[in-house]
Amino acid sequence: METRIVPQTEMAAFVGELMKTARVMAPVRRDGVGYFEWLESADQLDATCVVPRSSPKAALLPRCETLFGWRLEKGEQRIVPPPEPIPQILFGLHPCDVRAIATLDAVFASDPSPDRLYLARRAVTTVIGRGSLADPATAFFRELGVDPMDNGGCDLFLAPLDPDRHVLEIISDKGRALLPACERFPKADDRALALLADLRKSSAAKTEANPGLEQLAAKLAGMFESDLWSRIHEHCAGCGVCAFLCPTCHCFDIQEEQRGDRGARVRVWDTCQFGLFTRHASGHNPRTSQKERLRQRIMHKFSYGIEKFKVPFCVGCGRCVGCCPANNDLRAILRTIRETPSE
Amino acid sequence: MNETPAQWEPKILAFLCTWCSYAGADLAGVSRYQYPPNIRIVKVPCSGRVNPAYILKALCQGYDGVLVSGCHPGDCHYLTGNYHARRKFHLLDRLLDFAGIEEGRVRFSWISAAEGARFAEIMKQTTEAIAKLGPNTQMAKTTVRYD
Amino acid sequence: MTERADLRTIAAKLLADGTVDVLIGWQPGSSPLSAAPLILHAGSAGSEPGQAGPEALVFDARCAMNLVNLLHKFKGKKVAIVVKGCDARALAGLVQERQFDRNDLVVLGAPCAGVISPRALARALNSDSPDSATLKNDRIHAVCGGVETVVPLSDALDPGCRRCAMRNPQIADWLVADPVAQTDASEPAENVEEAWRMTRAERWRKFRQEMARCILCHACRQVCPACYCGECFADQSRPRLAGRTDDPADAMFFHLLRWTHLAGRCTGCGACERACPMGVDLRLYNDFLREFARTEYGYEAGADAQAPPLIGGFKPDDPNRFTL
Repeated sequence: METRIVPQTEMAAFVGELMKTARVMAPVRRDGVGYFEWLESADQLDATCVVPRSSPKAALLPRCETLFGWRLEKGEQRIVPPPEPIPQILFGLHPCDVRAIATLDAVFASDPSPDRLYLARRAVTTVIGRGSLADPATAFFRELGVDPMDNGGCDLFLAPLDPDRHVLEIISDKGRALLPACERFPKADDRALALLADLRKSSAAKTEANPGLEQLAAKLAGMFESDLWSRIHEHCAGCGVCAFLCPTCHCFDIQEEQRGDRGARVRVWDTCQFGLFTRHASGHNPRTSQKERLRQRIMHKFSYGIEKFKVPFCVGCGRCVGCCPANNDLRAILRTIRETPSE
Repeated sequence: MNETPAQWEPKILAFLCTWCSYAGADLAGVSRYQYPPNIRIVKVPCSGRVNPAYILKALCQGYDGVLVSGCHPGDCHYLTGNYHARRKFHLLDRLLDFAGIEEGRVRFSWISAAEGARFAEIMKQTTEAIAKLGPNTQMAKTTVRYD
Repeated sequence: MTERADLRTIAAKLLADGTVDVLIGWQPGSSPLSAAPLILHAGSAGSEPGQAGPEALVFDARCAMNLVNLLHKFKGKKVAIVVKGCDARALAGLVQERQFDRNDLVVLGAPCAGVISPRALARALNSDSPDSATLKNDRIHAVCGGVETVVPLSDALDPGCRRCAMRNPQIADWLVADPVAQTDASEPAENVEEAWRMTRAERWRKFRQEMARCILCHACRQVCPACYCGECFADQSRPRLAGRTDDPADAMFFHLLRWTHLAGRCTGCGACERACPMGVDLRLYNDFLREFARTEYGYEAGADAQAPPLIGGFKPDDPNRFTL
């Protein structure tokens, strides 16, 4: 694998080079808070942000996506296909966010109905991960087996050596396609690579090697009627913060937009935390309260997801922990589930 | 909705109380007062029935202006409907100003059943004012984009 | 006269002697400088291992959420609730709107010198994810990326708290902290004044920028004590009224209409702004609503549980100058 050394001071210049080849989503900071956003200029980049508040899933599953348009022409309906996706680079993703993309891939590529729009967008997406040596206070990815120095799933990976330098690892064909932007950086020497190997070793040692997710899934499968659910939902406000910031939550609603003689069918973000999510056309709602909705969220993440796709629908990024208006801490819920005796 | 800028004509939605302003429109017609054809009228039982949602939705749907007209204060068919409407619309008027929505996109008036001439005059004024503002680009949704 | 009581003692007593079925208060939260709601049920509080009891209750600058919002989940029960001054106003508003019978509620008033706003804290620290942060003697000691920073608590307070004129809860049955000094109520909100000094076009740019940030997660609505409709207009689906696309017009529709519903009802507690994950300046528009109610109609939300509501009431000589 080819490796280079990228000084921290050159990060924005690197992103500037990348922006010449594709649109780039990267962390920016506004009023102290990090967000993943499409960059308009390279100097917007915040190269210190570890896990920005908004997740990069918006690049693959936009908040609003046109499935097709239609218009009436002389009384005839004409269907207009959605625009072709344009090449895009996701820059500076924490390894937990890269793992989240693997989760989205598993869902949207799955038979019998792979999602063509998602896959087309995914095909033109290059993922540039960035490792981290310090874990945010609210994160729990290590508990779930995600190592913040792991370059799995990345096309390029920036592995931190010290506050001033990263080793740039050029991993895949998509990554190699960006070589012209990388060539300005010197090759990594053996000393740097040895240091990186050491850092990787100590990071791996701090990461749970066997997170026991299958056992958790099996246990949850028997807890559908547990008393637990009536306790943990009481202070949940029922907003969509957790799901909308989550890098793996991918539920959507399909709506019709119309104006005069033209319209579009669009896919918009939705969440199991909203009452409207499950309300039937008849008005009946099988999930009557936040208890059922919160249970669905936990079950989908840690039971159904693992059962069906062999991947958890949670990567431990901690966004929902830090941003929940009621501080309903997913880590505490998981702890309670693990401590609840099996029936 | 598909005109080129040169052909653009303002489209205005008017919510008219059936007991007064709507009858005023009728009188304007019977009396052969001329007024611009840019107004689409929705007849409502009372100006108090007009939910601010209708006004905002009309702007989102691409109307260039919205007019709500009811009975003069004190003359409501249901005694107090327009008093309730007045507070609501006063709030909406100030709120839209505070949000920076162009002045005069959303207008309110009181027109009685006997004021055919006033009806025609207000429609003329409103159309001219909104034509001067140009197309509603602030709140009109542009999501439907495919060509 | 409202009696002074110790929070944990009075809570334990109310739950034990059957005065209330449920008690809603705060406990320390799990992330730095946060608090979480603590809901205790009579008969079962602290009975299960790992489950907190009244001894876990706290009140300090971390207790930012407006717990009155959670009251809607316990309709028909006798509930004791810990409220700040602004929360108490919201509660009075709900009594005014006949949502709760005051006799079913035991109000534990917590005089409040201001709460921490995650947004103000992030701005002060230039980070929203400190490794750790503690509050000692009105100073915040935070560690961000291994570097310790000390900022005065006042820098991290919600801007609304700095000019709050309702610090001491008005409708409390018990006071669970000592009264604090009040600020002058007559000061107009600076942010609103500043916006009015801008041109319409500048106000529009500000509004559009704020709305373009909104992701329609509805956290503002969900944490608001005044938003309790069985079906919100934004959730009407037969036919659908509000859009959910990323066109800022959909966010504008949602927020503008929600604000028309909040006029004369929003007490400015700021729970919505603190809950917003995208940093939308909701306070500016809520403060506008309060200024509108105050200057045009002499009305204060939640000040008088017997008064007719602002929108819904009328006077024959109400302002008419906005009509043609």
